[in-house]
Amino acid sequence: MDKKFIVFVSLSKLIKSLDKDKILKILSTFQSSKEPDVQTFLFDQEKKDSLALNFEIRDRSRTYLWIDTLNNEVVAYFSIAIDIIQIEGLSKNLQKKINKGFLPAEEFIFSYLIGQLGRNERYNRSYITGKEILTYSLAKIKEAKNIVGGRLVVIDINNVYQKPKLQKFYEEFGFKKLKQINKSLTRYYLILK
Amino acid sequence: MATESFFYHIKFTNKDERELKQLIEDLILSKNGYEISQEDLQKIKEKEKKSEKVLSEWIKNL
Repeated sequence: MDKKFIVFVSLSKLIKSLDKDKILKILSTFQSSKEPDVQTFLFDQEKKDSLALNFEIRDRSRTYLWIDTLNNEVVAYFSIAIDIIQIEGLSKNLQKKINKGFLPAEEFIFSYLIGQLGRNERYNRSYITGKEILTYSLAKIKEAKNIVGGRLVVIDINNVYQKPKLQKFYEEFGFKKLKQINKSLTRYYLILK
Repeated sequence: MATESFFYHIKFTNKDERELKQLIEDLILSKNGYEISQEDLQKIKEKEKKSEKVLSEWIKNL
């Protein structure tokens, strides 16, 4: 497999150019047995459907893919979306600080969510590294930031499937622990300049 | 990452004061933030440009 045949493309672009069956066939090539949720989001083998595709159509999230155009396979992907953090009981002083003097009626902080991110297990890091996938996802978020503002990025790290080594990887990028969501997930955040 | 991440929104209350203060300080100061290098941004733009060319041919032949 040659790297020069690997393209970076948005799922929206594929939707405009290909019919659903062809898209599903391509998405079904993604394999991630170590992190089944990353695979199921892109293509659910049982339902023969894709949540990523349905989310894209409903503007719920945006998915970007690397596709090996020689073998028609997904090499890697990430999905990003808009998220909010709700805050209760924050002092008026801190609220004003967040909003540069303006006191909001409701207490929300807008954020960008990196909801999914992964590489097909059939492709090793010589094709694409985790660092590259994360950098591309942050670059896409930066494009949105440049248009609509916002600087907070959140990501959930799975305590079950993702080893401490991966948690360290995100921390080295600058992600900090925000809150434990449940037994398996911890939400981390990054301030994007 | 997890599919449920799309459906879960963090809610902070008085009990989470320490975490919230840290987040707000980082948000206000932003000096602790991450900046993508111009080199990386340039590489990504080039990759997107090259991809466009390959993509149109690939889509035609699918």
